[in-house]
Amino acid sequence: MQYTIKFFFSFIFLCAIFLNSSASVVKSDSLYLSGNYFEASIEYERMIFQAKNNTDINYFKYKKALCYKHMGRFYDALNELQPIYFSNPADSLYHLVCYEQSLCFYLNGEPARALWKIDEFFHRSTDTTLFRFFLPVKILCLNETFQWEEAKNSLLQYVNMQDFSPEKKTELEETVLNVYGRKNRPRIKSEKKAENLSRFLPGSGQIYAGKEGEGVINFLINASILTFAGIQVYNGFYITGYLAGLGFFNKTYHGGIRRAGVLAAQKNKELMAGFNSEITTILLSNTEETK
Amino acid sequence: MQNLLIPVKINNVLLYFLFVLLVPVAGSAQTIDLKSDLLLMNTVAKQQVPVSSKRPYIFKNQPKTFRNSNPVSLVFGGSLYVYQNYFSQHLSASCLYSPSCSDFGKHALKEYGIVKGTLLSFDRLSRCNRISATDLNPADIDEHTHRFNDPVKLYQ
Repeated sequence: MQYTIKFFFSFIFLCAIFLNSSASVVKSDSLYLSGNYFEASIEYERMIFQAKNNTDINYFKYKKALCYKHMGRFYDALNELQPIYFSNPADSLYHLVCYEQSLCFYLNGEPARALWKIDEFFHRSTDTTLFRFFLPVKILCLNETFQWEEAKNSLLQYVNMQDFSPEKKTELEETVLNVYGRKNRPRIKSEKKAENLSRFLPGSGQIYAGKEGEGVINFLINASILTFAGIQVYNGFYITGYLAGLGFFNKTYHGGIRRAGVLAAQKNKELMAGFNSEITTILLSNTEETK
Repeated sequence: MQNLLIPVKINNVLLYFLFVLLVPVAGSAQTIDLKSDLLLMNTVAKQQVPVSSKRPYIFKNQPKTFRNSNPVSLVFGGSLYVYQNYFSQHLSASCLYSPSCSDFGKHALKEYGIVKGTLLSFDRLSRCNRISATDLNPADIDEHTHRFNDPVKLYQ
């Protein structure tokens, strides 16, 4: 009994110190936990201003970035996380900051930079048990950058890191190999190819990108303007033919090339969202509670 | 001894309560919730998929009056609809401003009628070129559209 009492006295003593010195931390953390992210971010900003050492500043910046992430302001979250530097990779905050940075890069539509951050962490960190937190982001980023083989290997590595039975692991490995099979991968459209097709024959790039109607319209517009210019020049109206006809043709021809590239990129985005959604479902159903 | 222990027994309940309340608050700060992050990634990826939506007809959802159903309005409104939805995407030029010149003209005609609306549209078209761009204030650039903010309401 006396040990129980001693334990609680020690606890009360430590708790009192914690509450007294970190009343603001409790306030901002409670705001964060209750979902008032905007108010919490303001409170963290105040604490960054009042903090006396770099460790505190880094921690509050990290928490402020989390608030921004929950508000969907990924660019602002990155702005908070980017200046944080760790000379010692064994710092307990290092993996959290790296993780949030890579996640926010992915959410901000910059998968290549997310991969760069993950590689940096894998290179600097000595704790390989933390890699499993990074692998899901890495897999989705590799998918977005069309690095299928590496994405497949990372997903297999992730499955092997989980504490599943050998039967379930074998079943999951088969699922992964099936999903990343040549037939099931999304058929990515090359933006350069779309642009070059449109350069060769106006409208064909749009058809390649999956917008047949737009391709036909683009071809008709270009053909009719070119015909107009030709007729004008043939009839001796050189100024109208060259300036109005060819000048306008220049706009629609180059516009069509640019549009073909945009359509191919949009199609890729659509295909990747579907494929990554499938991968996320696999990851979600096979991720243990890692809190 | 008995007398001393009674208050301790009563306080134990309070202490347990404090322990349960405070430990998660202090401990929750540094964790990675992989499942909720995966859900977030899935939601954001779906939101980033471009949605092709048609730009509306100038007199859409308006009660039928002479002003919006006479042949001139129908022809010009229809031409604007065709230009915005089927033609403008094939042009290599892109507008300096937000809203774009065609949207500006549409709003101006709706807001100020045919005379002031047409004059404002001509004025905007004459300002939409590289020479005028050198005269614009960079502070007016919209952070989302990356274009100069120039709405119709500035010309009341």
